[in-house]
Amino acid sequence: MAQTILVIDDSASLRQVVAMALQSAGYEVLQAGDGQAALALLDGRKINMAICDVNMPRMNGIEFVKAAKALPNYRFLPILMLTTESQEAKKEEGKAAGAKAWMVKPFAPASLLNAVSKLCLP
Amino acid sequence: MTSVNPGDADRALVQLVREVLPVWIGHLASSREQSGAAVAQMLAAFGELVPQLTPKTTAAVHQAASTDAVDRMYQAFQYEDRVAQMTSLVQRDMERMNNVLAGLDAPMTAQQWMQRLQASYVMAEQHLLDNRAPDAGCDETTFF
Repeated sequence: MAQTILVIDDSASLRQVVAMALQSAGYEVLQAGDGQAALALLDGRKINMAICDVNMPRMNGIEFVKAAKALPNYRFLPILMLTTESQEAKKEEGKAAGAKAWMVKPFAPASLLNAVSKLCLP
Repeated sequence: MTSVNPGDADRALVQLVREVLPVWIGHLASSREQSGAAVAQMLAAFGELVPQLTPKTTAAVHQAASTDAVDRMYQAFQYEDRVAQMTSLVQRDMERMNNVLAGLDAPMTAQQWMQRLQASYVMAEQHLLDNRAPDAGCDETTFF
């Protein structure tokens, strides 16, 4: 059974690019336009990993990581932050919230798939 | 020749900027919307083409070239997101300026204005525009 990855980004085109790269490698993809919409998808279903933007309306990526980690079923969900933010202070915020890795956009598909293969739960 | 009172000239300039700013803001928003729609269409078409661009049966050298081209397209498509973020930031700043000119927000010095604007930068390119050194870390994955 294919592993499922939740992709969270307020840019529809970016979500589409990430989804296409993941699907081409055999992953199943769920999409959400912000942290709040993503939280609604954490309803008990099996999700092997999340890839999350930082700057989003309603609920940003850092807030999403904290909220997801507070849910018993998803406290071990690996989350990769995929963002245009490259400032060290922001990275530290992501790390403190519980993210597992930080990747700066624009990403190369091979780099993304490499990170996913390292982090994705079986 | 008619002499213009400096106070009148200032007021006329403020009025001019107040009328022009919303037009610029509208053009920025419209450009972003159109480029977003165009990229969505290109991505949909690209999604249909990818399987044909990377056929499993072609020679290895062709496969490598195709994969490289597909990877470069994946990266190029991401620039729409970057441009949208940059223009959104400029648009919000223009809206703030219009609020100040309309007396809705308190005025500030150019230095204060720039500090607030720079604090909202997220990309290395934005810092470079103001000749400020960006934090390191582009194109890298950091594992925690």
